[in-house]
Amino acid sequence: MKRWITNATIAAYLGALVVGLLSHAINYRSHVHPLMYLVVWDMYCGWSAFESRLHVLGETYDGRHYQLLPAPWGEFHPYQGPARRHYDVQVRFAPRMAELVLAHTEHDDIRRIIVVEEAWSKKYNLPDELWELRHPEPKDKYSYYHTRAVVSCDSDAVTRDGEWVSALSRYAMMDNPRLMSDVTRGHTFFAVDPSLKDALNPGVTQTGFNTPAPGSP
Amino acid sequence: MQTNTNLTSPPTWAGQVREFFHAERPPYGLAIMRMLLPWVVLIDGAPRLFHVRELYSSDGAPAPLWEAYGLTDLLPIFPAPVAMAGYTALVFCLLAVSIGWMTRFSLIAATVLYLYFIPLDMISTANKYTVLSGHALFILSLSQCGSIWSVDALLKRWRTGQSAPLPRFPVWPQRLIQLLVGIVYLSAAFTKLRTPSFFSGDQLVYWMLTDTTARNPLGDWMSMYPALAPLTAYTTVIWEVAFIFVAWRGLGRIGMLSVGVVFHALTWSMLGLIVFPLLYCVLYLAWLHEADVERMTGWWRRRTPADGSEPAVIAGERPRFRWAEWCGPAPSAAAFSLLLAIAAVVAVELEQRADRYGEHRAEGRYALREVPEERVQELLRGDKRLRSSDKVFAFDVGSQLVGGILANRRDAFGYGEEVIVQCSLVPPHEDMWVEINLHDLEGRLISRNGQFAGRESFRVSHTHIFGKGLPPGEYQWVLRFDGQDLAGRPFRLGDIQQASGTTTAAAVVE
Repeated sequence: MKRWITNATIAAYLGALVVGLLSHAINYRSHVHPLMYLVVWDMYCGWSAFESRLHVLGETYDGRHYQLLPAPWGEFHPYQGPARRHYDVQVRFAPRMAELVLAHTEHDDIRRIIVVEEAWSKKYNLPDELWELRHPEPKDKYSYYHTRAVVSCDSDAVTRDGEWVSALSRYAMMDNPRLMSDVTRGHTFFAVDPSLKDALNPGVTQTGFNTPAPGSP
Repeated sequence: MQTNTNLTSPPTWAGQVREFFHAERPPYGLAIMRMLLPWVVLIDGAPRLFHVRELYSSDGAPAPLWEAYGLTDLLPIFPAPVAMAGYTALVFCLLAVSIGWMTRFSLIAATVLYLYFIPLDMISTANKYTVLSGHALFILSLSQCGSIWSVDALLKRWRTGQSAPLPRFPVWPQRLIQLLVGIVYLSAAFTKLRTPSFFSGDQLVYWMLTDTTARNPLGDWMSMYPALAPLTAYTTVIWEVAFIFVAWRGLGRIGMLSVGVVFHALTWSMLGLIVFPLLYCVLYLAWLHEADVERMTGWWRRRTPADGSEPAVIAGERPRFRWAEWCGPAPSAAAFSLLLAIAAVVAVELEQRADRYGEHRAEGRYALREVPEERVQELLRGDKRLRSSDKVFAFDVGSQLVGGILANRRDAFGYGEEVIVQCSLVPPHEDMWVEINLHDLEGRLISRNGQFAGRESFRVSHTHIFGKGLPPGEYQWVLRFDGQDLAGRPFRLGDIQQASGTTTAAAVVE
């Protein structure tokens, strides 16, 4: 009996590991449930060419801005490097951390929380002495600022944008007049055509790039 | 993997599997792992004890893993005192595991608590090595790792007055850890195989330059030699794939584990990882054989001169202490519970008194700091384009390519020699027209060489061979795009040993 229980334990455990391995290998439902995090080993998710840090501001109704993070009482540095907020790559929790600060500090009424990503090329992370060996040019570190999220304190309204590198990819893609023309034509819009009022009751038809309006060439 | 050798009939497949999982061995490797693993976990875990309120309680800002999966309230998040008591219990149990006190209970409690706290904070606690540590704790809790070299074993010996013979147990927990390590490596290789920029070495270079982990001075230095990165990348993947098939016995075991130790040491020195490599070195103890321990103890005995004292008792009668009855399981459990309760209560009280958020300071609550308007304007300016200089990662001149990456840097060339000028670009960038032009030192253009760099390109290279038409002297390669000359690399032509057979008379031969 004990041997059977042992064998069942071995089979169950190895089965879970194999499910995670195969799910990850063929990229099938590997993130379907948090439990998959325990058996999917997707280390090395890619490292971008930019180093990023997050700044979190609180904006008052009269347009002044306060620093919400780092918190006045200090921050936790989890891996001997930057503070915890900087690891919130998806900016999912930084607003929550900011709300914690707001809940425990004296401040004017805050209208919205703004999360800004500061990014710079990782080549500037090279120490000065190595930079001189590697590059004849002077080290001229430059930071880019990209608003990642704006969270209203009066409502549930949230606007988010992707990481700086995602935004750069998008801007590069948008820098193409032919493509942007297609995008403009490909957007769904509502065309009001009085002549169709009898056929289609409201006289309004949804149209777009792939669905030409009736009667159009 | 050791198998029974039966001369009359070859072992069946089922027999081999049975032998693989159920052969009985002394749990040396697991016992040492039990002693070391808690300390590795506590490298990250102990500092978090002082931040439980923020990270793991409803009085802070936890970052539950399940929210990233679109779920809410998968696990309860408790108020700070409860979370603090739970986390203190986790630390206490890990320390108890390390010394082998109430080993089975401590391991089970540590596993449950650890796997509860990990997903409460996906941004600074949940990562693959904490999950891997959770697996190891879970498997150890199923094993007999506390049967030797532990407080439990010592108490048992004191209680019975008997020095028990060396215990032997089925080896399957050890096998599970070995297979876990192998599967993790295999899975990590799958990830890399799906990442083309891993093999070009670019992502590895960016990782070496990152500051999001601990300091990694060797990584900074190695990033200056990017041609080594593809070699490292291919070696890593081959080793990760081969590990689970080769690392079982003989030279394969020694080779794979040795490469593993070197690999993980490099992840520390080049990438700034600390806990991950230490964890793997501890998990490698699952490969410790009985013979290895005997070899080591034999070596130690030979090294230690005999002092003429009585020989060590291996098994048999020992003097029984007067207070032996106090070494039973019940008193041990009572003392354990009492200490655990005291530790939890003290920790909760100290955490309350620490007043993390400054709510009870004499000067009142903290006030927020206003950000100067100029700084606000800078933060909110919403950049949309890169400076041209920031699209360039490196611009180098050399003569050898490895994996498409310039492997050397030179500033002197002979006639007829191949010169390679390479510009590494920072992704993502737009489609570009990149010129690598030849100038004299006064800036006069001699040769203009432009090419497309699609948005997927990581680098642009120009290969050039000089004929004798260009007089010896000082020249420079100039990188130009976006209508600007962005970088220049001076070099000498013709004052080193000339390549033989160069008869071209053209000024510039491409």
